[in-house]
Amino acid sequence: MHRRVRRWSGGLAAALFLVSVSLLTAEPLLLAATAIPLIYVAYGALSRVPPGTDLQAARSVSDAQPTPGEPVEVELTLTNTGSSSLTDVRVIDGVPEELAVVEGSPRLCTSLRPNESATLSYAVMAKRGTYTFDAAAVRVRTLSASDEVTVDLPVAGDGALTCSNTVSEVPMADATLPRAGTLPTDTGGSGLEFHSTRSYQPGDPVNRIDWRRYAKTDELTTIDYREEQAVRTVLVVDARPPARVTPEPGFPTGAELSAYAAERLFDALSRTSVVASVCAVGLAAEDVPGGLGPDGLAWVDASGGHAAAHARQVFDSVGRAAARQSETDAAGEADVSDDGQPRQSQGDHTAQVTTADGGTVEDPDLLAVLARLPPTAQVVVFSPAADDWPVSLVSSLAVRDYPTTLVSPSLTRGDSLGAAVAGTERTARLQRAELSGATVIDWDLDSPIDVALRASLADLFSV
Amino acid sequence: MDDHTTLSTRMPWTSLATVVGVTAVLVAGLLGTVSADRAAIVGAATGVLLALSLWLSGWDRWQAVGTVLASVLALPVAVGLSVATGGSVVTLGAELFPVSSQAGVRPAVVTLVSQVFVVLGCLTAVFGATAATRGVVDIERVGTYGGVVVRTTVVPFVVALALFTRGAVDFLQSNADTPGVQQLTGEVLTRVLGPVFDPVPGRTHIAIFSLLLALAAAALARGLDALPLSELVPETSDAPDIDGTVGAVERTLRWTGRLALLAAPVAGLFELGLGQESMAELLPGGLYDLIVAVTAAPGLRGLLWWLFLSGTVASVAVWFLRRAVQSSADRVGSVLAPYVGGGVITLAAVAVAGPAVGAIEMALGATPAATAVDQLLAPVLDVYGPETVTLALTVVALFSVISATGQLWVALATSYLRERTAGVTLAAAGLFGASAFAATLSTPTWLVLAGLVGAVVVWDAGSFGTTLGREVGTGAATRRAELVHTGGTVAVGGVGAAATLGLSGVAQGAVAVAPSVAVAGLVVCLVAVLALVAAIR
Repeated sequence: MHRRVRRWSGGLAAALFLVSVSLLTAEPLLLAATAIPLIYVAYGALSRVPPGTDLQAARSVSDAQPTPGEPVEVELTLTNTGSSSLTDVRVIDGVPEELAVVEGSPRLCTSLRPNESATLSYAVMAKRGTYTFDAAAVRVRTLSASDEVTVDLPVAGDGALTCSNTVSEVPMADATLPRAGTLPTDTGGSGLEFHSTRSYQPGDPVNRIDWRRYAKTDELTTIDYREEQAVRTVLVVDARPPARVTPEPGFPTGAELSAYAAERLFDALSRTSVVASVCAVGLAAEDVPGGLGPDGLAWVDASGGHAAAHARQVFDSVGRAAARQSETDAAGEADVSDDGQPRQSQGDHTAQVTTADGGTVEDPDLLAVLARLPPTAQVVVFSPAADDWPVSLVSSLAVRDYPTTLVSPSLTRGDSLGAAVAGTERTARLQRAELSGATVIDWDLDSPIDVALRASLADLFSV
Repeated sequence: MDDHTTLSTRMPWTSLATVVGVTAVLVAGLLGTVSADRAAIVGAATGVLLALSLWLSGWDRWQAVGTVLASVLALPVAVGLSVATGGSVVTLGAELFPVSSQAGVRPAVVTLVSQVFVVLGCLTAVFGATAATRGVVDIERVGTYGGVVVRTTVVPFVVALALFTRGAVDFLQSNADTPGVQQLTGEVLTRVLGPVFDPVPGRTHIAIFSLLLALAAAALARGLDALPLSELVPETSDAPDIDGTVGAVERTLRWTGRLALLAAPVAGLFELGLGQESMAELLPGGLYDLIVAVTAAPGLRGLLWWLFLSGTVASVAVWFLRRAVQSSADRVGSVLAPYVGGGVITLAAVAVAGPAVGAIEMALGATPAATAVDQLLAPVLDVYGPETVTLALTVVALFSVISATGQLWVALATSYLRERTAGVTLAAAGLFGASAFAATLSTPTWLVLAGLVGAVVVWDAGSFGTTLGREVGTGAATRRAELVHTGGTVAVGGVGAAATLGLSGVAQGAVAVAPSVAVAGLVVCLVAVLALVAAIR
């Protein structure tokens, strides 16, 4: 796009002014001095962007597959491949809208001689998902800045940033969860460990008949072994609006981090024999493809087909909800919520649930989770603990004897007073959760979630 | 990260340094050519103060403090503007005049006007460059500042008006004996004010006294009612029952007022209808003397008048306070601050009235207009006193600030000045004008040319930097492009300056015609060049 800027036309007025003053004061120097503004007018009128201007751009991304919350260095190199010098080249890299620039500037203005290059480097905060860089916007101006050409310059090199969390390479199954997915139960059946004997019933497997006893007593007896049932594990992701807080703009929200941790665990569990259900709390119907269940939960049961795909959808929904929140949130830089109250019941729910610390909770989401949980299950709650809701849930679960783990990404960053207060409140909540009998994993974002899970979940699953 | 809000007016450091540096150097050079040194320095300082005031009036963080400061700074700005213009004229007038011959008048006037314009141009340039550093010239801020100055002016204006009226009344009253209009107005005033404040002794004045009493009682009752007396008493069991006392006093005052109001017409009828003798006969001797003594006492009248004033002031003040506590502190601050500032300015003007008037008289006394000034100023000072004159001058100076702000606002509202580049445009215009007028003084040619080119460089670097700040942001690396661009502009200016020198050299050597013909020829050339450029564009 070519554009002329009439920025020197004021020179004519200046010339007229000089003529007037000259005539007024009879000063000939001023008449001659009209040459100065007029030469600027001519300068502006005559300068053109040289034909044959050619630029090339290349981008490199330091880490094309980063983890969420990690700054990623991006470099854009611009080369003047034309034959003439360009005095004023402005370039704006097409950073994906969703990614926040946390360091440096994706913009540059410089002069380029033929075959000279300039590099701009900046860092973006990685977020879950794949983000494609747009073409770089380049504007070339003449020395007088009265003529400009603007183009969208296609960029060679890295064009996308993928922040995925498929964990095929993570050595989790062999290292962290040695007995994951098996929980010895007190019912006899097929298995390895002896449980009891009983009289033979037609249809019992031949290999479980106690042949020695038959030889001795001529009676058919069947041996029952301790049955080993696959454990149901329910992953509860706290995606309610209070959890969708972020310590700094561009940083993933608490809900997104929770979903990310849950997704990693889900992937790890799905390759063992653990039956994992996924449940996201606090989503709106428009966030989830296919809508929510009647109880307001996004619940994926492991038993159904395509459970992994459905679970993935739920995790993506959390990201969508967080994005929607940040769009509607005009402030855009929500601080860690200090609203200590759990969301109150909106309907006419009058049921009360007893928590371990003797309190009662009337939260509809909490009631829905408790109602939906199978009678035997291990529950892993993922929440940034930005309010008391996860603590209430954990203590309610403790009362019902569910083995419970609370995984909490730490959102307190920075040295501000608000961050310190939020951090202290969160620590107190985690302590309360621990006191009520849950295993608490305090995920410091500087270490990978795998390390935190490895450190703590091994205990849980070897009960 | 306030870059997002102020990005549009921010410019990168290199451009800003160019604007400020070039402006500072050129202003220093140009002011050196002005012989009114003090006025010139005050002018430059006024530019900085004006920019600071504009910034303060839009200071969102401490709105009330900013408004108070901007309001109080209105006085230095006003005085600075007056000194930069009036002071230059007076100083130069004393220096250039009287001229030896009739032919010397015109050059002297040209020199004087040019120097004043140089000072004003430098003031504008300093203001523009200072404002450009923070991008404070926008229509909203200028409007706010205009409002602040107008409200600041209200207090000194009202006080000056009151003092002026009082002075005029006193003057007219004292002139009641001299014939003419003064006598008429003086007599009217004496007739109106005499019976109220200075009654004729030896007779009763029940009607007017009762009216005054009624007014004073009513105002006092209102004032008492408004004051939070009972709220100030501690809430303990042994505290005195001040509520009851206040109620009783108030009731008494109201009844006194009502009775006095009723008594006034009756007493008036009696006084007018019966005359003093009949009244003296009608009333017992002692009572009549007492009434005469009470109703005709000027001291008592004065007391009643002051009671009326204090009651009114108390109720108005309490009403104001009640309104004030109901709104936010910042709002109250920013609404009231200009009035407080105006009060401070009034007090300051009154405090320095004597020395200020002396200084003005001395400065004016050195000019050729000394006799005329003496004839005009001395009687005015005699009649109104130095306080009123100083206040009036202050108000006039404040009006000049209002007018300057108004012009700036109009220029912004009509888009003659673009908000984004207003600061640098003003700086460049001021420098250009100052350089042009400096050419008519004994300024070296190189300085004039440097000033003209420098003005263009200031504008170019500023507007280029602003565009750069908007498009690329201040966080990006832009120095190289800025330096290259400014270098280009300076180079073109150098060519222009060389052309100017060449043209004036050729013209000086080759002018064989009458100067008027040469001028006409140059004008024709100029028009031709303009037409050519227009055609090219």
